[in-house]
Amino acid sequence: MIHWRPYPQSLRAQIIIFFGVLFIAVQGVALLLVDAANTRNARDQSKQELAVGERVFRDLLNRNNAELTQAAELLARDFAFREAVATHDLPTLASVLANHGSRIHADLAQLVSPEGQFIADSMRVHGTDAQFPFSWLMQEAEERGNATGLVILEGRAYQLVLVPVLAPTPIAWAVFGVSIDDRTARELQKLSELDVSFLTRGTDSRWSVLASTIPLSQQQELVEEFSSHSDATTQGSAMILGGTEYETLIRHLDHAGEAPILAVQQRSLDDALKPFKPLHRILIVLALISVAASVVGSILIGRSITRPLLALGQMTERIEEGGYSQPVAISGADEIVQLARRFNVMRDGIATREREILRLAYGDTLTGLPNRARFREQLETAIRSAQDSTTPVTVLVVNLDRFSYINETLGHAAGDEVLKHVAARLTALLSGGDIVARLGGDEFAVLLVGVGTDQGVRAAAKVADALESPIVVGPQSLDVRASIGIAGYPAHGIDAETLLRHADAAMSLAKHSKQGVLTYDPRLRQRREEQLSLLSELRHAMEANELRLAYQPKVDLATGAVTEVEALMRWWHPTKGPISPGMFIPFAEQTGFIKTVTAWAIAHAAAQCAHWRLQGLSLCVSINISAQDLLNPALTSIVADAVTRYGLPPRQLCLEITESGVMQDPARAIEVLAALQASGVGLSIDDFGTGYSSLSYVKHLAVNELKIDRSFITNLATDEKDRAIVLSTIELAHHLGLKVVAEGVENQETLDVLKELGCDSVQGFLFTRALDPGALVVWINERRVRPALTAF
Amino acid sequence: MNRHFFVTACAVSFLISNSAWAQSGLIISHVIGDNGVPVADAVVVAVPDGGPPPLPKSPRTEIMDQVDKEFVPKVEPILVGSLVQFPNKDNVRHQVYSFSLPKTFELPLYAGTPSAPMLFDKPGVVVLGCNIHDWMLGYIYVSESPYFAKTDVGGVAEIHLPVGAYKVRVWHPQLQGTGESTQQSVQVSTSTQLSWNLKLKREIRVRRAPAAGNDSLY
Repeated sequence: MIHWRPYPQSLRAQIIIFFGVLFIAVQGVALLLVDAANTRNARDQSKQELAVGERVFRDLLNRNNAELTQAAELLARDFAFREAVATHDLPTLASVLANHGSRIHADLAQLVSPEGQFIADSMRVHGTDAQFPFSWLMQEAEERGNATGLVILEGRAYQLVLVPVLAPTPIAWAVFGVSIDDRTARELQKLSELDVSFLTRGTDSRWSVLASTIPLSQQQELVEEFSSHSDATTQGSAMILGGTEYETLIRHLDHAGEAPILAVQQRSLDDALKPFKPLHRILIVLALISVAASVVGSILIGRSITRPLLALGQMTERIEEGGYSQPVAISGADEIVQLARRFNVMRDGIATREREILRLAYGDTLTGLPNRARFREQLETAIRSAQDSTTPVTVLVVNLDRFSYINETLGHAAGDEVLKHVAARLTALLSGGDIVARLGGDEFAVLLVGVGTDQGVRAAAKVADALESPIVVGPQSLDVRASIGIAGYPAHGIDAETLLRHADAAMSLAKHSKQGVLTYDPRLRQRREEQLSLLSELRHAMEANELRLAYQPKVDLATGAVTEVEALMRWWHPTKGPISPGMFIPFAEQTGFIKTVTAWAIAHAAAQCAHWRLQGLSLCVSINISAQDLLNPALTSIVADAVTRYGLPPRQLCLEITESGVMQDPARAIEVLAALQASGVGLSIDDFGTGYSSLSYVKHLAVNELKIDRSFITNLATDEKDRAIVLSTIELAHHLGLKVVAEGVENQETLDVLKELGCDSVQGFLFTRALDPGALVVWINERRVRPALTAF
Repeated sequence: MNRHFFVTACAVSFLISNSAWAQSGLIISHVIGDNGVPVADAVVVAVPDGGPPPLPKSPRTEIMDQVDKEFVPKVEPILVGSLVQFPNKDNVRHQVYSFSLPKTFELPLYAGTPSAPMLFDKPGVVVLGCNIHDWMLGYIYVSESPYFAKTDVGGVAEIHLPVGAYKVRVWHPQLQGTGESTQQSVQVSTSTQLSWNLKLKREIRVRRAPAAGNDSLY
């Protein structure tokens, strides 16, 4: 659908049309005004000229009459003429009249007696004794001495003059007449510059033209005009003849009572307008030129405005698209150039700000390294080009170990310094298109372009080497280590997101397994996925009572009685079936979910303990807690709550913590354990012998029990060294007042040795695996009943 | 002019008184024009019923003078058969002419007095003009009877004549109509008073020209 807009929207078109129309209108109006003024002027002028011409005409007529009279008088005074008249010599008279008449170019010559009778007549129209038809002329002549008048004779106009023939008294009147014809009219026109027409109305009441200077066709029109408008004969004004407009003046030349003779004097408006015609033409030419000039000028001006505007518009497009580099070069009017300059300044400003924004967006303020977002971008770019050129790309994720410790101990300023040093060292390792970025916190990433996984491992080793030497911050000399995860394209992922994630996972695993550098293993993914889903399932499990506690009894070696049980987590997954703690506990520990799990376990164990007590079964229930639990400030209150809630007597609830768990933060462990003991729980050190504990710590731990790690128990029967360790451990424990429990007892031999060595309690498959509460009770009862079943 | 008139009147009356007739009559004519204005230069002529007396043997010679470019007198009645002299008292020449039927003549340009006086042997009015000076106008009234007189400024003319029966008429140059009034038959006695009322035309005369310049009408 075409929308026709009545008003053009383009600035250029608007300018052109506006100025074009304006100029045309102005010129048009000017032309019209000039034309009108000229015409009015011409009319006025014509009227004036008409008036003047009319006076000239009248003057001419009078002069002609005077001349004619003079000539006639001269003739009439001629002696011979007088003699002829006086002697009534008619033949002579006739020829004299003719002769004298022709002397003065008269068209008629007559002689009239004083009584008014024709004596002679050159026209020979009148018979003898005819009367002179214009008695008024004679009367005037008698009164004035002579007379002139315009009369119609035989359908023609004559200017007659009557002069007396004095001999010496008037003996006759000499009448001379000059006909008024076209020639006369033309002579009059020459002098007065007026068109003149003489008209008369005959006895048939029809007007006719006696003489005229206007063309024949116009004469006819004139006659018609007079015939149709009776008042036209009296009024003069504008008349249109033959398409030409005439200013008209009408004069009656006839004598009252005679046939009307009109002298119609006219001045053609065309003649009056003639001198204006060139002016008119010049004005039109000027108008056309100025309109053309205005159109051209407005086109140029419009262009000088719209072109820079368009250029600026294009520039804004480029700016929008992010192209800041080219300044706009615009020439033209000052305002435009200034605007362009401002645009350029703005463009520079925008470019600068964008750079700043990018810098902030993509840069890490502290270290000056690219940030995660930028690293992602670069990685994506590297992957894209790797796709084209099949070069490998490797990503290293470098995470500083125990950085939070530095922050807490030395302060964040020191921590920042460390980060800066690390950044510098990493940067120093770069080559080619490699990039070091700070992903955040204490984590860095390295992008190695054109580097395969093996090379990546070597690069990671270099990174680790770079961090070998201590970092000096102020007076402090710090050993900063890092865990490094490696992921390579295309082996470990084909997009940046995946690569980063996998490198991160590898790093995380390296950190937790304290391996330093690890390359991503695809199997991790699966496990991770499993673990991720596991986490949510775990939460669900807790709510859905899929988690259970199973209890493994600790048998007293001396009495064979069961007074203690260890609570172990079991997860009965609705679809996957039983899931061993090894599958989810470490994961829970990693995610910190262990705290929730432990809290749950404590509560349930306490409840179970209380339940057994109600049943008359007094068992000390031990719950495993992790290092995280130990460091959890809420632990003490959780435990205290459980004890209080279920009204458990002291030491009825026990907590087992691994030796390595304690050693994570020994100082704190000591505090917490002391507090826990104060709240009435028993405490055991689990997996003793594997936790790199220093004995001085052991001294201070407020525990009741040591559990020897199963690694020493498994081969106890055969391994002398194990035996020595176990022995010394038992002795150590006993000397410190601690009871000793041996885990993982699977055969009788081991049991015998332990008994020999003086261990207090034992725990293991030899007796039973962990049982449900119900099953446990059954087992305990059976043991009582048939103690021999269980070897002793 | 009065002097001439007087002389002429005396001469005529002397002649008449010396004639055979013993008794002298007198006609006193009063000529009145329009509005009761007395008319001068009117000629009263009395013709005896029996016919005019015979002409004298020796004709008289009258004078028609030209003085100051005018005919003097303007109207001169004479007896038929008289001679008229046309002396020119002016320092310019005149060319006297007349187209009147009683006497048509033309005196070529002359100064002083032409050689011979002219014989006016036909009665009637002879209008005199000068070819050069268009305004000059003179009348010689040739009377067939010796009994005539011209009115004076008062419009009065006296004619001495023997008593008897006469036909008396008046003539004036501007007299409308035929120029002559109707006759009156009069028995002349020793003193007969006659009066005439004349209707006079306007005199059409050319204006006297200034020394240099064109003639023009009124």
